[in-house]
Amino acid sequence: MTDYLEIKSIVKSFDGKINAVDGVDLSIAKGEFITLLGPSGSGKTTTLLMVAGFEHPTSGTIELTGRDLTKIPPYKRNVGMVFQNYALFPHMTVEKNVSFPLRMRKFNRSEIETRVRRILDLVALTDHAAKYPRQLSGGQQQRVALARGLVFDPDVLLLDEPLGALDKNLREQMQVEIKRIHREIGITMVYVTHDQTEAMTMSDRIAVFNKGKIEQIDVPLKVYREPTTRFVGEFVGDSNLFDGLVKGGAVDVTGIGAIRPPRADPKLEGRAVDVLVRPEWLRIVAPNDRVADGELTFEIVVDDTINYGDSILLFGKAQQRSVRVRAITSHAGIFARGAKVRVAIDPANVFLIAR
Amino acid sequence: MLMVRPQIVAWALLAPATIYLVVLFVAPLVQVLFLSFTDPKLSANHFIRVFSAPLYLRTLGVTFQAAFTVTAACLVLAYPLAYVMARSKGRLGIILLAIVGISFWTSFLVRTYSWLVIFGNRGPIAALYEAMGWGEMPQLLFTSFASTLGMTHLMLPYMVMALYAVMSRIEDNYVRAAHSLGAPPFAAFRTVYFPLSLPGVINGSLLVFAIVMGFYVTPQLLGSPQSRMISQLVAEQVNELLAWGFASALAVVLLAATAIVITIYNRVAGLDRLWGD
Ligand SMILES: Nc1ncnc2c1ncn2[C@@H]1O[C@H](COP(=O)(O)OP(=O)(O)OP(=O)(O)O)[C@@H](O)[C@H]1O
Ligand SMILES: [Mg+2]
Repeated sequence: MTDYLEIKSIVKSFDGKINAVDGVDLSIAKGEFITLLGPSGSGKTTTLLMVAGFEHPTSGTIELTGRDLTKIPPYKRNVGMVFQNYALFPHMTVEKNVSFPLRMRKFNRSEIETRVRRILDLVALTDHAAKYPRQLSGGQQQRVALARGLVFDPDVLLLDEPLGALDKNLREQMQVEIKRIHREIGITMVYVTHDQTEAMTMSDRIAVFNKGKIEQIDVPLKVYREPTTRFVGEFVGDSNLFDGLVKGGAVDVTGIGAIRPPRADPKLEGRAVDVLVRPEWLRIVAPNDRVADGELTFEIVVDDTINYGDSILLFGKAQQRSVRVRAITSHAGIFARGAKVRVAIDPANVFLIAR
Repeated sequence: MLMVRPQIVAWALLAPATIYLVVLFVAPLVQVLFLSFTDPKLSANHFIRVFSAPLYLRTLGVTFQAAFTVTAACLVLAYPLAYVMARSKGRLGIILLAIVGISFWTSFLVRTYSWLVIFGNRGPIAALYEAMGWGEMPQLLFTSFASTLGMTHLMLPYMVMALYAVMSRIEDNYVRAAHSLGAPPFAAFRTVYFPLSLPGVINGSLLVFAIVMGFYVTPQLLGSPQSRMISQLVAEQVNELLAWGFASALAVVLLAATAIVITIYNRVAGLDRLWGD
């Protein structure tokens, strides 16, 4: 992976006391789709604004293809940005909005026309070129913002929660759209969201932010299956986190029993750990079902169930510890409150997080 | 529970304001219009006189000129001030807002008298001339310059407030978006910020223009007796000559002239035209 956009230990403090961004390192490959995921106030927007040039890092550097960006003003960076509320110019038509960056760069008229036509085609807005932003739906405005951010071939496109204002259906539609555009023009995208599903479905890699720091950078599946910190395990996806102690290569899960994960890190030997078991990694064992060798089974008492139609989420307790189980089943009826259910964990589906 | 039709409630709530406006605004206006054609006898003579005597046309011209000058001067002075107020994040914006607010709430009369002092024979300017040995200070009081300056000073807070109201609602992200799209600071201002601030420019200009057209106190106290504004003429007709009919005709002309200018301005610079559809 060649480094294209290189963020080197940037720190940003607004008040000189607390670091809103606290030593972030991130190297991004050309053409990559990277997502900054994290809770509110974790420093995602601030990081993005520093890349765009609207905030100055307190320390650290940002390099694009080896050239230091930190001293270059935003309008000379050639970095596109899509804002959460789009920031479409209300006094310009769609066409004028989209041609704005080209006019600023003094492109000639025919070049402007060609490019605007091509990009409006890409986002399927050709028929709306003469409209003003407020005459468009939320999804259309979003596409104008994308077109405007892409039309001048920026080196990087930054997107700050671009789908935050849209309803669920439209959001999913736009996720697909943005991915398609990313594929078709192969531009490097840095995408900010606090929606973990969005991050999982769209990204090449996810950087999980917490309190101004990156807790983990990895491909989505790895972030989901092998979170390096308890925070990541909890923030990304639904989770059961049990207390455990590693002894002789096996982990003793407090109140539940011992299990031997095949790939346990030898460095964890003798240490207390968080044991991550995703709700769908637990299997409901019917009375006649076989239990494989090495599987850990235990009993839970059902508190509640949510039926999603395609699956159910079961909330229960094992020895006073809350447990969630997600199962693909249509037998929600049998899991009444107070019912006892046996569940099994496959050792391959246990991940140990160092404390 | 007693059921009251919502319309009745709405009318009941609107009634005091409506009655107030009809009694104190619409009725006198109708009376002025009536007097202008009937006092002392039914005719259009007053209007013929206004438009045939050079004195009155000249006064109308002076009034327009003062209104244009003051509006333009206020705009030029207020725009940068409101811009800084709206854009500065820290204490500066609040301090400026407070200063403008204070002058906003200080009476017209007090502020007009303060110019009498400043431009007077024993005022600071006279003292400066004396101290520097520049000789006799130029005549400042009772000139159109003093009157225009005074009115500009009085109207400045109105213009600042009108601009600030609009500018403070222009999100930073518009300007940021312009920068990220390649617009250097001045280009971003010219193509994005300024057009977005235009509603404030229009509101402020209309407000200042309309008020200055009818200004009385300041031109009376500071201005030149040779180039009076129309409301001074109206006052003179009423106070000294008791010519209610002619005074009313002058007032009607002033009102009509102001309305015409505002209508034209709205046609040319109307918001509906600026922002499409
Ligand atoms: N201009 C500013 N002045 C002072 N503090 C700021 C400023 N901008 C952000 N902060 C602070 O910096 C921290 C990080 O903010 P940031 O906007 O980067 O968070 P975020 O991860 O984008 O959150 P969200 O998901 O809510 O958008 C927050 O504590 C915020 O209050
Ligand atoms: Mg944010």
